[in-house]
Amino acid sequence: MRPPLARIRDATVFLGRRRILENINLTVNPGEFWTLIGPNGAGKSTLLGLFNGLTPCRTGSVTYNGRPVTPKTAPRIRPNIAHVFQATDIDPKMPMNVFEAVLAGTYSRIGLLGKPGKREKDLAARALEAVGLSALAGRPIGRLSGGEGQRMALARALTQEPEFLLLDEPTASLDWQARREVLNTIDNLRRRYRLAVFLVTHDLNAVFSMAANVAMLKGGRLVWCGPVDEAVNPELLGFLYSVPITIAACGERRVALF
Amino acid sequence: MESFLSYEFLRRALLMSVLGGSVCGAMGVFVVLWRMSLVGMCISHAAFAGALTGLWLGFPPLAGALTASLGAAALVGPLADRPGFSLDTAIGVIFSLVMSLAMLALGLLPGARTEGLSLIWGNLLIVTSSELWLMGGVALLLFLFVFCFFKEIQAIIGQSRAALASGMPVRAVRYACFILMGLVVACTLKAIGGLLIFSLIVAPAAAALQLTYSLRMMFLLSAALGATASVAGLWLSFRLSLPTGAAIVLIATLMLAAAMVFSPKKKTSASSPPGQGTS
Repeated sequence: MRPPLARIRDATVFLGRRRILENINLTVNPGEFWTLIGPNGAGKSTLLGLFNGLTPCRTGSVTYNGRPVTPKTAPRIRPNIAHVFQATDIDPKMPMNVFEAVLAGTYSRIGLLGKPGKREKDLAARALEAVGLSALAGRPIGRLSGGEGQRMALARALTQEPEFLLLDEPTASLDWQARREVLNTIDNLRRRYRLAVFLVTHDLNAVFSMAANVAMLKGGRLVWCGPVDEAVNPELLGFLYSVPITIAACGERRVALF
Repeated sequence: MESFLSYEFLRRALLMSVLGGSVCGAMGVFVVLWRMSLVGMCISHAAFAGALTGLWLGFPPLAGALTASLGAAALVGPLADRPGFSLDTAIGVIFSLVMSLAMLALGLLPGARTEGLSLIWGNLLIVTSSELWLMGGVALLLFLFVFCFFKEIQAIIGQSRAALASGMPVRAVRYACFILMGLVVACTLKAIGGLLIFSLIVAPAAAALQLTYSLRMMFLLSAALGATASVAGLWLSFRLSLPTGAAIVLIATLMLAAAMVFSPKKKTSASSPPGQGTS
């Protein structure tokens, strides 16, 4: 039997003396699509960082492909895990064009002193094509819209050739059109490259339409994990966000109203 | 020009201008893009305090400047990485400490304090051959660092969190920059002066950023502008009997003003700028 891709066991995370996450247990298998939802301050981004060691856990353990993720092993494991942050991580003043920013995804595999060659440049060109940004390859990154910036970040993640994609609120602060473009791109990329995806989002409707598995985090604790069909539950979601939530049917889709 | 170059001390000053100006310019790219202006100010004042302490205790000011600036550079990074500490706080703590030490050393210096005060404004005309060699070594080190680790610098400067998450040695590169900054500041302190050196680091890089969308070009432009400002400042100070450091900084600032006026970035069209390839 194939081992899980990533596993978090009994992880507890402290920031100074404050406990951020408590007794987290999660298993992600190859190709699975997970979403993590929960109110602001629940510790979602912190939990995401457990997978690649950006968040060190005080107790418990994290493994990736059976190997423990520790401060010592994390730099060697990280090239396999692409982490996409919100578009605000990209500084618009940087003197860099879209192609250069995307090519940077290959650098951790090339290693120190190595130079990107034809293979890496082809990889970046293909990644730009996959996210529909080929025409903007030469554009300075400061001149991208929010949605384009986020798709560029996805292309950068693809050039890393990851097995596991961590997405930290990739649609935050985007308008409806950009949000739909980014979510469609994520869905297409996941299918095309057979990636495992762990998506942190506040967009419940994206969760219902895209994810297979849902984890719910509240106050640093995982309060529920399971298949998306069971997660579409007004009582459960109402408890998670502490507001009444109604689920409405819209054709074949279910949407959350609050 | 012939009369200018006929003096040994002016030839040394000219060489120091080219080396120091280009090194400060290139270092400024990190300072401007990483928004570490305060780090640079903190390290330059630490060098100043170290040099004054050296004068007070009777050892070479350059050794004091090197020790103090490298010490401050080595402290800033780890202190800023501590939980509950930000870079601003770390700099605030170190800056006030080094300024107190500088004032203490200046106050305790015996005699006329001329040499101590000259460290504030700098003097290119009293540069020695050994200081030139040292500056050459630092220039080689900095340019080799940029050449060898350009892709890491580019990735980290542009998208630092993504670079860290992909396994790149972000912290090592950042600390290396702090250390290089300490070396650059210590070696140019006597020539440019503790108060002025920081402007020579920031102004050429800020001007270069106005003129290009390419990081590679920004390093080249910034180094060239720094060297030009230094040489032009030296020439003006020779012709018009002006304080050298002040003349250099004024020219660097004028260059920045001109770059802001003629910056192609003022045009906010969404099209790609000409000449930006995809390499």
